[in-house]
Amino acid sequence: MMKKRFEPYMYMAPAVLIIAFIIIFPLIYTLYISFASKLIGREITSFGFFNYAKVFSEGRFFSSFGKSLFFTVISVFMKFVIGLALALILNRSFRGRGLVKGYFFLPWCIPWFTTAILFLWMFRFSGGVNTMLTRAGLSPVFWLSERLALVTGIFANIWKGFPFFMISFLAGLQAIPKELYEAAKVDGAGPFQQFLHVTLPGLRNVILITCTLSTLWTFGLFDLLYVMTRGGPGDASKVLPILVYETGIRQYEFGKAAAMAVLTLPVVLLLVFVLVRLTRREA
Amino acid sequence: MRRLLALGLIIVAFGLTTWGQPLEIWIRSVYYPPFNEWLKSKILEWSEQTGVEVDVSIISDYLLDEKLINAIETRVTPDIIFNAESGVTLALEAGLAVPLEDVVDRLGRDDFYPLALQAYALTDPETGQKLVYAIPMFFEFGYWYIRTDLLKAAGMEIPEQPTWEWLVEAAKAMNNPPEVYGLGIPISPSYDALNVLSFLLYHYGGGFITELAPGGADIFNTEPTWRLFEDLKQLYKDKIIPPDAVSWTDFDNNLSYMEGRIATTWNPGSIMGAMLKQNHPLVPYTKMIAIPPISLGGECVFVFKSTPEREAKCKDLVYYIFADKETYRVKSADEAGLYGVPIFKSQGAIISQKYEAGEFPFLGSDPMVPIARGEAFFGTNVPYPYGEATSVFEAAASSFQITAMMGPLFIKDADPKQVAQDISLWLNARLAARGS
Repeated sequence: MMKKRFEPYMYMAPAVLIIAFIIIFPLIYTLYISFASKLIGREITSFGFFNYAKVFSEGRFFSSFGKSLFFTVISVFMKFVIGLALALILNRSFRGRGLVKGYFFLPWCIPWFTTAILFLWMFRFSGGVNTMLTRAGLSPVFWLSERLALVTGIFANIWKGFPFFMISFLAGLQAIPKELYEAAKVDGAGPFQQFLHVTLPGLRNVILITCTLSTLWTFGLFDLLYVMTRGGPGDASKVLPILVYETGIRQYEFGKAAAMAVLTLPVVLLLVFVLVRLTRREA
Repeated sequence: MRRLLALGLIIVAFGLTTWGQPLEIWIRSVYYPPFNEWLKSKILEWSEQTGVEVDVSIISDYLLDEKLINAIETRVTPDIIFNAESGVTLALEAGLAVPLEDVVDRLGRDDFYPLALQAYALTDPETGQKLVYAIPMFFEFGYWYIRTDLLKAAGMEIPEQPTWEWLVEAAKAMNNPPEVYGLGIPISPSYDALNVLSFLLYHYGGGFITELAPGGADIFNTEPTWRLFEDLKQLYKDKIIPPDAVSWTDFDNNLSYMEGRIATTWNPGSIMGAMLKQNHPLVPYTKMIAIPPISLGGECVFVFKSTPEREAKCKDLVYYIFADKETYRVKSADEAGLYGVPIFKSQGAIISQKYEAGEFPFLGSDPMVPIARGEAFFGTNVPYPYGEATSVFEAAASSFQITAMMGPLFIKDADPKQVAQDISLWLNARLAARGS
């Protein structure tokens, strides 16, 4: 009897152990290192709150945190709007719909590094976009300037990320029963009211899950801005992942980088919590 | 007893697996790609001749840094790294680096330019002895590129011994924004910007770290730095330096030069290497000149500790790569627009002869002269004139933070003294953190 009760757990044990090792061990190790004075390749010499004190006193962390938030909120919002609009269009049947769907999905298939190089080439001062502007008789724009570098990064992020929203929303739209629209029509609802009272509630869970996942990915995005701007000019586009990378990998300060990562953990955990709750409710 | 037996078996099994493993070789991808390929083909050739199995990976520079740090931290390292620009000092501090003195002797110690052996002659933390722990792959020579057609149009000529002051005058004379900017120097978070900053700082009589106080950056926040920052700021304000130079990554100045947007720039020979390969129309109108002290790239090869047999194989491989000095020179220098000038005097002499014979029409001066005189420094890890690679300076330099912190000078019109002070404080904090 006892053996039977434990049998399912025994089957699950290897997978659980591997996942625990992959997820929990680095998390605990990061927490541990964040309190340590540690040089790369050498033993820990002391423990304390000094890494956190340094992070708080330097102010660079909060500046990067703000940039990360700005980058994430604007990117996710725009991806949501564009993704939803395209999903609504593609939900109708028209000739060549499959082709258009495939065309809009293309950016999602391109690796981050390639996207970054592509946008860097297009948006550098003498790149493709400014060439087009000058040929059209307009003044070139300094897209990677202190004021615009982060915005250009957001633009690249939207371009790469909106197909994920589009495809998820399209799947969600196709799952909404047609009868609901017919009932709304009978009740005298116009297209906008149908969108407001049938489409949006029908997509509620898909929207929340897509937005939460995208927020997590965007907040942790490193490659795009690092390749495009290396966090510059100055520190203008130094989002949190770049700051943590530079501190840990380039400046060899593991402890401080770990403290920064730990300080962002509450935000990430909050998002994971929301995601888990939503997934559970949907199930 | 059973436990001991199990432990013994594990150790034997581990030993056997390590013994049977191919040599793990990492190549950091340099900015002249054919050299990476040549290096890989030489390694495979050596593998075929000796029967030693190898596992070779060419890795991009920023990925390699990450992998290297992880390798040193976890002590699960490759056997050997070629073209590494950082890591040798960290490996040494972690007790993971192997001295290469015997390879130097095998290649002929006297044939090395002293600079090649000084750069990585590091102090063994246990014995206090200075030993060569890495060999530069070549001298990645920092040239000033000048458009001779624009210079001629401005009524100027390259003097016998060009100086920074002359270059600025020439840049002003050639300046014609927005079509052509006179001085195409990167002032952004990038390697090239750090090299230019180092060159200028030393030229202005300043520096990062003094030999008298290697633990402090107390010579950075001084008058030469303030003067330099003031001058750079003015050049930027006057649009001699292009406005987008604050956002340049390492290849933007290359492209800007090749597009004809800038009349001068600083770069290793990779621009010329690319232009020669493309038969670029600017080749006949470009001269590369040397203004000492020359900033050199720190690409080197070093070996990680493993077993004596594996270490010996790695050393043999290092020897094999350099032994055919003629081919080595041709691949790194002659065919590469002098991207990497040789570390051997015998080969340097051939470059000088070829220069004299006019075989490098794009050269404005003989690059081997400042090398022979020792008027050069390794920009990314050796603080000049302190002279020894340190992990502290490497960490400070390779993060691009110094040049990122220069940003406010140009984009916020910040006070040079304030910017110098901020950088100095940051540099000192890094030095203190390393406990040097």
